[in-house]
Amino acid sequence: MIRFATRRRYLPSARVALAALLALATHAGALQAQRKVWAAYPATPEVSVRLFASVGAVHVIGWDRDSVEVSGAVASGSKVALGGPQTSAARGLKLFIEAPTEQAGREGSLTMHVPRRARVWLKTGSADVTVTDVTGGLDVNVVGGSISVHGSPRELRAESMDGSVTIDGAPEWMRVKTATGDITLRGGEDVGASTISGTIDARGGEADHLKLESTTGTIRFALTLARGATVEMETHSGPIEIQLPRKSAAEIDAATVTGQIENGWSGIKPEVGREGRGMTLTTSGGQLGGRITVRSFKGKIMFKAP
Amino acid sequence: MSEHPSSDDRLDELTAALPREIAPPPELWGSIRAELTPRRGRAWWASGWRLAAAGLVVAVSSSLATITVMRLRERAPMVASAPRAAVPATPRATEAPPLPAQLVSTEQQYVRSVEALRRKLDERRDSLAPSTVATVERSLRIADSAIAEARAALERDPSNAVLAALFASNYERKIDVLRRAAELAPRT
Repeated sequence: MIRFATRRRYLPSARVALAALLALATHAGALQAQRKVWAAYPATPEVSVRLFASVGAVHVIGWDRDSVEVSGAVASGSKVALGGPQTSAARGLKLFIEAPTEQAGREGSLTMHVPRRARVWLKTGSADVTVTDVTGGLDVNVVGGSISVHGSPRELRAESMDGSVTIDGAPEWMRVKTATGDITLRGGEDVGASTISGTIDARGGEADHLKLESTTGTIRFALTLARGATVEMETHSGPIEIQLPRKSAAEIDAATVTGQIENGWSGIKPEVGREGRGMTLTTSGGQLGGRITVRSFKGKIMFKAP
Repeated sequence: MSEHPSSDDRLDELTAALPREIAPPPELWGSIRAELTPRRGRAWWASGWRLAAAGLVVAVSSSLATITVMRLRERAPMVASAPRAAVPATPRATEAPPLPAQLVSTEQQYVRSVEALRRKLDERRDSLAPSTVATVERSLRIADSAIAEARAALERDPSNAVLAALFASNYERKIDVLRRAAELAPRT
């Protein structure tokens, strides 16, 4: 009995130890299967940087130096084209890292420092991309990874297939597109966001000229309106939730083909369409209160106050 | 790593000076169609101009379609009217649809764009990750369903400007997904 009990007590520990050893060996193997990369170049403050990188994560950071620095680890066997040393400040850089397999393209990570006002073009597969403090132009294209932009680039184009896109600044000009990925943004001067089935969440900032559209995805709008703002929202079947301050002087023009409209924001009742299907809601507002146009085929449109 | 040659810089300056949107003249169509003649057996990356031509077709089609829809919108009252019945269906543009000639023409332009991009995507399908292809196909099915539903409603209420605009938007989102899928790098 004692021997049996002892075996029962120690056997799980042995298994845990074995599992830990295996995990360590696997991790060590993965580390060995990666290759470190590092390159740095003098660059002009508005250098154009094009980076194609098939790695697991990319972090782009704007800094106050006139140089570009790339560091990190990529899957071994990757084709790496980071070029040679520069003698003068580069005005354009093209960097390229291609993994040997799709799986290898999910490994490793890169950090790239660029001058804040740099123009960055970044294309990758399944990498999670984070961009911080870049105020120049930014063009990011991913397939399965996510995109997070912290700060307010002058121009921003972000496209993802099924990864999420989060923009926590207010770029002057911004276009965001996904197929199934969710979009979160905080407004801007000239903003467009489009998705097939992802959710669009616009809150926490100010809208000037903004258009949000989806096919089946939910659209949530809770931005404040700039003077004379124009906001358009459109969906085929996704619900649209619009939150406006009770005293907002916005002019509303909402219409559906078969969907419902609920107005919990003001006392005006939506009208039912001519043949009993579809609804409209129109309100008049001040000239500078902004105009909101909403269109839906069958998605429900809801107006509400905070 | 290489520094851009001066011609690249000049190109950047010229590109920056261009307007963001431009509607190409209709007389370009003939040459664009000729450029789109399929040539098989070449790697996708060696045919960047074909992607560019497809992109131009999309731009031209979208512009023409938008103009058509905007004209229709100007003529029709901006009040949503309910269709008698919105029955989902999947008709093809090549069938004889009971839509106004203007909308039929618009749809045919969209269909041509879709077909051109679909061919590009099919040529590259094997080079893309299966999960990416699955995502794209799922999104295209959703877009197709929305297009069919809007189209069926338009057949019953062809003067509904809101509906016409939603119909066009569904096509444009579908074309956009196709365009992006056709431009993806291998193994992504």
